[in-house]
Order: sequence, then structure tokens, then C-alpha cells
Amino acid sequence: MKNLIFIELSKIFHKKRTYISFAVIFLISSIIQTALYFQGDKYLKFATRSLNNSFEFSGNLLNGYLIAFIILQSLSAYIPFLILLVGGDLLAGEATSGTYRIMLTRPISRHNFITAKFIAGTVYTNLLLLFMMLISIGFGIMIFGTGELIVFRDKLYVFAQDDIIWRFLLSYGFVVLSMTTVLSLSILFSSLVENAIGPIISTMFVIITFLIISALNIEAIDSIKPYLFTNHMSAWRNFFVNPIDFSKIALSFSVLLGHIFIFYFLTVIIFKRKDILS
Amino acid sequence: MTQSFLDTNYLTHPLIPSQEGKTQDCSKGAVKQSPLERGFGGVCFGIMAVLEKTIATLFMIVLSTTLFAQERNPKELLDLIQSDFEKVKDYTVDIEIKIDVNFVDAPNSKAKLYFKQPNKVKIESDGFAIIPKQGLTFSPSELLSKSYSAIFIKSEILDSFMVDVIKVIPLEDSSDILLSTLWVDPLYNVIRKIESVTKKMGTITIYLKYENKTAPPLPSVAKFFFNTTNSGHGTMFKNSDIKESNKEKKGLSGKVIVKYSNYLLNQNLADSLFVEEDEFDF
Repeated sequence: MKNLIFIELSKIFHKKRTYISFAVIFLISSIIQTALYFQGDKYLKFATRSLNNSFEFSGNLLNGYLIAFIILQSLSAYIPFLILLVGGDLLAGEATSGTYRIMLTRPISRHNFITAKFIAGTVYTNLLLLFMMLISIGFGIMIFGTGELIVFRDKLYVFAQDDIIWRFLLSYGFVVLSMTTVLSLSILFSSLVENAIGPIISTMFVIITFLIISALNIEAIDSIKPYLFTNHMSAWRNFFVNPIDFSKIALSFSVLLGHIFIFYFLTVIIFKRKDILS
Repeated sequence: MTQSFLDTNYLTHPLIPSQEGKTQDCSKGAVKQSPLERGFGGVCFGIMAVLEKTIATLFMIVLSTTLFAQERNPKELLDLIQSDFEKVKDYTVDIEIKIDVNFVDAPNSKAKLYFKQPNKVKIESDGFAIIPKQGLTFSPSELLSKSYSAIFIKSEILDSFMVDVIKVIPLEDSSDILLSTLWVDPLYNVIRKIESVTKKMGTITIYLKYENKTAPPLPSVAKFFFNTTNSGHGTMFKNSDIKESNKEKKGLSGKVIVKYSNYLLNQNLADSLFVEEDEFDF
């Protein structure tokens, strides 16, 4: 199994498209950091404009933690589309290149084959988010220094320096779970077709549709919303409030984990029954 | 015959109608009658006696209050406080801020406050500090340096201190403060409470405690109470949060407690100290 995972990882990292996601994250993070370096004070003034009448703010507000939070906030909605590039290609790519037969004539079960693909895809997702965390927090601290983190949600939250890192770690952990859900869905679609474009577009379509449904304020569809996984993908933000509502996070965690298992088992069932013709 | 209002013989109003429906002359003879004999006309003597005493007492109270009030010249009192405060050319003080405001969830913060007359202020903090803008330096100049009108209202006891309540109305249109009520301690020449109605921030009430042994007395604790009626606080993070906050669109309310310690007075602070800008001075 270990070998299978390494083989799959090697396949993933030998493809150029794998690095597109890393490049995009680096590019967007750099753009945000550069923009905030020059215009950060305006950003903060705007964010705190109503409190400016009453309060004076002192200290290094525009620090690496705030930059990392803004990057996470901005990118978390778009990372799914980067994950798809790899997830959609994991099985369909084998079909396109005709390597299914070669792989499956070897003494490995189809179940293990799919599991290795899933694990390799999850490792890729983890590495991508780890990369994002390192460049957003690392570069952020290098350029902007440290300080308290201010987060504006239903109110202005100010987190002390020693109260920030664990929140980021848990948030990134949760984002990994969200992205793994997207990856699982793309692998499921990938198992159905023989061309990578199909799963990528299908998963995009599902995510966009779910996001639109979530955004609609229509009572008739309100009851559906809690079951849409896209609705739970932003639950990481609950780590940046006081007090943390762990029950809300646990619910979202369960929904996402449930989706991952369902997508995984469906993929296994479909793939086991699949007639390999290419 | 002309009678004085306080003449004891003048017990009743000469125009009170008698039983017969005629105007009764309440003469000395009538007083000597028994109550039964006096009838309604006699009862009027008693009522008028009480009325007279009450009116006389009220008159004395009003007279004495007016005379007392006239002794309190609010402008003089405020000038005295200002001139007392102006004896402090500059000061530095350590401040500790505790915020309990509905729109802010922040840990306690510490900072160093530099003040130089008339209104130079600098705040230095190792970490983040969120500090109330108004009244932080408790300088009376903030309010009294511009033209204003002051009215003495009353004297009362505030936290076991006898204080004079003075209303201050800024006369300049540009002033953010519409009306301030000051509770002034004339014994120590300090302001113990300020209640200001402002254009931008609603009502702010500041309670000041003086436990530091400085001369002139400078506050050791200031409690700021905020109550604004509307607030569309700025956010650019997520739409759903804006919706959440708009559901309960309420004003800024809550309190901020600032503790002042380690005063250093008249250290001849250089002006250049105040020129240096904070990293983010909003």
C-alpha cells in the first residue's frame, strides 16, 4: 500500500498541472501582501471606520497574522477549483493515457488502487494548504511583523499574540477537510469518465450550483441548505470568534466527513464494477 | 387698611365667599367665633393659615436657593479647574485599559500615555491597544478652550462628595459635543463626572476617581460609558457577517475602564516626541 501511495504521489508531482495550484497561490498571496504593504492602512481604516469615532487604535495592527487571515479568507473560496485540477485527473487521467490495464494487471486490488489514489490526493491537498499557510504566515510575519490579530465578524475581535497560532492550525485543518471533500467528489466523477475535463467541469458545476443555492434567500430551499457540503466549508471561520461554538464546528466537521466517506465508497463501488476497456 | 402678607392677623383671603355667598371680610371678630359658629367662613381661616405658612416657607427656600445659586459662578469654577490643570505642563502615565463594549471583544491592554499642554497626546504600547478618544487625557481644555456657555444647575452628593452640577453648552457649530454636564467638586477643584451628548458618538459618561497623590489631583481611574444610537460598523470580510450584524443593528454601548498609574509630572517633554506618528493613527 505504501508503495502504491508513493507511486501515485510520484505521478501527481510529475505532472505540470500539479504546480499550477502552487503557482496560483503564491501569485495571489504575493499580490495581496504587496497591495496591503502599500494600502494596508486604508484597508484598516475602512474595516474599523465606525469605531474610529470612539476609539483610537495603537500597535501593529497590519501584521503577518492579519495578512495570513485575509489570504486564507480570500483563497479558501477558490482553492476548490485548484484541487479539481488534480482530483479530476486522478482516475480519468489513467483512462486517457491507457494505463488502467497496466496498473490493474499488477497484483493489487481495485479497492487498494482507489484508496491509494485518495490518500495521494489528500496528501497533495495537505501540501498545497501547508504551502499556503507557510507563505501567508511566514512571509506575512517577515514583511509585516507580528502583533494582535483583529477580525471583524459580528463584532471586532482582537486576539492576543499567544492566542492566534492554534486558531490558524485548527482553521487550516478544517480547510484541509473541506478541500478533501471537494477532492473526493472530483475523484468520484473521475471514476465515471475517461477524460479529465469532464470531472473538473462537473465538480465545478456542483460547487457553483451549491454556492448559488446557499446564497439564495428563499424559504423553500432553506431546509436543503444544511445538507449542502459547500455550506459547511467556511465553518473554519468559527475558530476566529470568542467563545468558539464547537458544536457548530462539530456539525460541519461531521457533514464534511460524511460526504468524504460517501464519495469514497461510491467511487470504490463504481470502480470495482467498472469494465476497463481502454 | 394695608396689611402685610406676613401679618399674623391677616389669616384669610378677603375675597373668600361666605356661607351666604357673599364676599367675607375676615376680621378679628370672626376669629373669635367657635368653629361651629364660624361655618365655612371659619374653616377658611385654618386653610389660609396653612397656606400662608407653606407659601412663606417656599418663598424662603426659593429666595435662599437663588441667593445660593448666585454665589456659584460656573464660569469661575470651570476657570479655576482649568487653571489648576494648566499647572501640569506635561505628564506621562501608565494606562491599563479594559474594554467591555458590545462591538469589541479585546483583551486588556497596557500603554503609556504622554500629554503636553495644551492638547498634545501620544500613546505608546508594546502591543495592541484600543483607547477611547474622548476624555482620555481628562484635560478640561478639550471642552473649555473654545467658547461655551455654562449654567449652574444644582449642588448634590456624588459618591459621598458634594459636587456642583454645571451644564456646558459649546457655542461653536464645529464642536462635536452638543451638551456636557459636569459634576465639579469645588473643594478639590476637580471634575468627578462628565456626561456629554455628542454628534457622532451619542452619549458618553465618564466617571473619574482621584486616588493618586498628585498635585493637582489627576485621575487614577476613568470609567467611560458609551451609548450610541446607531452604528454601521465597517467590515469587508464576509457578507454573511454583515447580514448577521445588521439583524440587530444597534448602537455602540458598553464601558471602558482606564486605570492610570505612575504619573510623572512636568518632565519637560520635548515637542518632537509628539511629532512622531504611531504606526496606525486613525
